[in-house]
Amino acid sequence: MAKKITTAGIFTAVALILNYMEMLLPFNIGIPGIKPGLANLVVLLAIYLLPPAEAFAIAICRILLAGLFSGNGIALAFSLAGGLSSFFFMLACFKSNCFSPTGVSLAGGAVHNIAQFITALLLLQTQALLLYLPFLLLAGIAAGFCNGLLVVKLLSRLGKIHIF
Amino acid sequence: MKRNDFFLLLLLLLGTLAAFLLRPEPSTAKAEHIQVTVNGKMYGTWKLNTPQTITVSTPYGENVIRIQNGAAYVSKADCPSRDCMKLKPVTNSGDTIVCLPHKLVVEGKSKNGNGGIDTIAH
Ligand SMILES: [Zn+2]
Repeated sequence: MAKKITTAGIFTAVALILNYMEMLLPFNIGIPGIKPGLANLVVLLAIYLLPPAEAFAIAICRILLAGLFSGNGIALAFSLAGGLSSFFFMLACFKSNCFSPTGVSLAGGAVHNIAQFITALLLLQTQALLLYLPFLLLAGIAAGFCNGLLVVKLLSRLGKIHIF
Repeated sequence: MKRNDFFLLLLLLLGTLAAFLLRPEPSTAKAEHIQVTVNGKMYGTWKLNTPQTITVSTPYGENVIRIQNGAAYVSKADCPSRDCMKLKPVTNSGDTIVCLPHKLVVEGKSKNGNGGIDTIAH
């Protein structure tokens, strides 16, 4: 049990650090919500290396803690919508055994941004947002793809360490 | 990568292409005024040809909108990420600035413009 909590804690901490690093990046192309989503990489690793319940705990702790730091309810709802839908979608893709980690990550990135887009549409009730949709989709695909390739590399390295 | 990964990638890229082709056309007509909505409800409209500073204070938070040289942008905000301050200023009709945490949308509108109140008035 203690080992489980420690492992989950390390994953969550790394995810939070990546989250924070992303906030420091001057990454802005004039469209809200486009980010590399590096923290998602940790969640994907957890899906592959840990039991689903622990991976879920990491996904949700990361979002709640990051939300606590920013302290805004709506921003929290927004990241929950993206984070949880992409988690369950990635888990389903992983379980289906139809995709490599790159495909799973790709699906996760796209679903993450689609869910956030729908949340924004419901929240702001303006059609003007539709203009952003193709760019959000493309960003989700690109981020998911890059994260997926990184995860493949990381899995082959981490697979050699027998702590999981 | 598996073969399914490529199918998925192709499917997603096709979806993106469809979203791109179907998206509302970005307008090149200069906006005459901006319309500010909070939580989907009209907050007010302001002329773009008058330099002014508007403070939008709602239960969600505060954004200061600055209008000058026919452009409107968020000059101050107390939202966590302050993404709205980094967005491209509104100059054309249809341009938007969004502050998600504050449920705020600033949209450029023109007299014979696209949608909104003006169309209803015809
Ligand atoms: Zn803002």
